[in-house]
Amino acid sequence: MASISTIHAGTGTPGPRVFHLGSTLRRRLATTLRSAFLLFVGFVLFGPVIILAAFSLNDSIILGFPFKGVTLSWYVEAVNEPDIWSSLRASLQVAVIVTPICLLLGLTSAIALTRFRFRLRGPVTAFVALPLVIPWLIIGVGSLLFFSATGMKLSLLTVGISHVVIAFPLVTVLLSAQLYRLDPHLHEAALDLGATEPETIRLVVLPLLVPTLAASAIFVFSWSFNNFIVSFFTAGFENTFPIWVFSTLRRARDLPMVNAISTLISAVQVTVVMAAWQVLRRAMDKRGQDIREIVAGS
Amino acid sequence: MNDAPYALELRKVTKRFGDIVAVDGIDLQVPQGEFFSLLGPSGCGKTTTLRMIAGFEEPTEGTLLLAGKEGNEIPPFRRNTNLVFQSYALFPHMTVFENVAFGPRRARLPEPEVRERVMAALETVRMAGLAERLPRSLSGGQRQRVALARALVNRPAVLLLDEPLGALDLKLRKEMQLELKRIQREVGICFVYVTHDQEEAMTMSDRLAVMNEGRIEQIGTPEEVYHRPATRFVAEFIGEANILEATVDRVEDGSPVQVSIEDGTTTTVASCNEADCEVGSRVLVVLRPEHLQLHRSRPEDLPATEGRVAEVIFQGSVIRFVVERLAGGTLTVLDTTATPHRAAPGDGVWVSWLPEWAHVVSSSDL
Ligand SMILES: Nc1ncnc2c1ncn2[C@@H]1O[C@H](COP(=O)(O)OP(=O)(O)OP(=O)(O)O)[C@@H](O)[C@H]1O
Ligand SMILES: [Mg+2]
Repeated sequence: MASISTIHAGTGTPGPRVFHLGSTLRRRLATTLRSAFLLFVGFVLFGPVIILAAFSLNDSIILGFPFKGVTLSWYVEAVNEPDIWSSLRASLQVAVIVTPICLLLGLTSAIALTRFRFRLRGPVTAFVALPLVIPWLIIGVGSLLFFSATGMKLSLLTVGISHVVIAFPLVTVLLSAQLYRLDPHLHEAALDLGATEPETIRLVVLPLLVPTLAASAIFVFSWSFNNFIVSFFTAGFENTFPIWVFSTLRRARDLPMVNAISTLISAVQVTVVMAAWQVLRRAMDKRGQDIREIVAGS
Repeated sequence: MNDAPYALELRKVTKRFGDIVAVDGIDLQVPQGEFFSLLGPSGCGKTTTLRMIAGFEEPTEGTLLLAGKEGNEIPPFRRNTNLVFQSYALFPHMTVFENVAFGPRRARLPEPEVRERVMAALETVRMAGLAERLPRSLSGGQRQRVALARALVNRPAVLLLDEPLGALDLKLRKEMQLELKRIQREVGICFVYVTHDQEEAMTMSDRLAVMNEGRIEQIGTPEEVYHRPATRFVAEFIGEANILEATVDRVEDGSPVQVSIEDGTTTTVASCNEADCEVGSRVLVVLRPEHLQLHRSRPEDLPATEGRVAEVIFQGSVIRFVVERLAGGTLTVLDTTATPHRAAPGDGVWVSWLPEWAHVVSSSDL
């Protein structure tokens, strides 16, 4: 915009008044277009969720207009459905166990890949990052084949194993990026001041990684909790929450109930993640760090 | 420990990175309590030398002695040395106090003593008032002081500093130079100070080593290195030098005492670093600009060379003349502005020097 105005000012013939008017108009148009674009993006992103939430309150079994009236009966039905609770418990169980394992694997692999120079570092890095680029469907099918070939019974355990395989590279990548950004002299300074290698990791490297670790935990947990494709292939007769949602969708009668519970779970998740983010930001503020460092670097 | 002859000694230490020879067989000894500088241009191996002393690199060849004991393989955390990094490397998540307390706590000192030592160290660098601050809220000079306190608090036998003032502006730099010198005298430990700034090295050091391409060209006090440079490189790296080619006329005790410059002027020379010189060998005469004088006509009793004034530069307390010699090349003459001068660009002049300031170096590295 600014450069266009300058060109106009330079050619000079139209009076400054006219030029001023033209530029204001143009600016208004741009603002309008920008708002419209944002609105469109927002609609595509959140529209489905909003519609879901809206219909979960609709007093009708049919997901369609017209709206028949507001009711909470679907929520009551959902809360009284035992399958929901057992599938939620299964998903929570998996996520709670998968998260710390991913953090540990991600941390150790990130430290190994960034701190030590070994011969196979390049290939190992590529190998670790591989699950990030392979489609989940392939990983799901592959896991299924692997487990049946090795004779492992499909259960929440196999779900957890496949979740770890897919989620920990993300942690490795996040932590490696942060480790690369750290001043390498910090590590040496700690050694120089008498800290052993393990003390250096514990007292200097880890505290500086805490924000990234926390962010990774949030990502991995919600990712594992919400994953459908990989769980679907590796769960056998077990139901995680997304699998339960999928299987229940086939019965049209239960759709409004699925709507209700999905809305509820989404709301809880958003609240929890936002709360965790706030807590993290407070903690970092106190330590003189900025949460933006996780994303943007320091 | 105190009966060890040197706080630090390097014997024929070499460090290679693949094909690169970063440090090439250097020998040096630093006694207790000395302020010693490693001075040299970028890439000459100063940092590598310091990192070997700190234990972050192992010498490829040679021996490193710390307080008289062999130390090539002692890991950094067990050495009685501490390093002040150019980037300071303060721990960003710890307060000033916690940063300084890091070393004493690793040594498992009781907490009251830790506290006492930390506060004393912060007192020494005049930072006691900011103990609870985080590094990011400090200025460059303040961070520098904290980094120094964090190293000093461990009472190392040798304190290593890698261009610690590099990131500061000129004024703060000058201030910190004097401050560092004061602190070194106060704590009385040996400082090994790396810099590429010759003025800084001259200001602070008891002795200094001039390095070039991985080798030490000369070790000596600032006066020795300035007045009696061992090589042409040292002469030109430390201060300003006028270099004249000459041939040896007379030798006493294997050292030239009279040489003739290529335009025919003969001069006696006071000092020489060329031990095995014969009559007739080629040498270089080093003349410092402030030891030269301008004359309208040929002076009677002083060696002199003829030329023409090319430039006159007024610099406040000193005035600088650039003289083009008739025999080729230029000479720089420095004089105080207190002496009345009439030389102007274009004037024909004679440049003389006092033989007692003339110094000879080998021309082999020409
Ligand atoms: N880890 C390394 N791997 C390979 N070469 C290195 C390494 N460290 C230093 N070198 C090389 O060794 C030489 C000396 O480097 P060093 O850092 O000691 O120089 P310096 O005198 O400290 O220079 P500066 O004043 O620029 O800091 C350089 O040529 C450098 O490229
Ligand atoms: Mg260096």
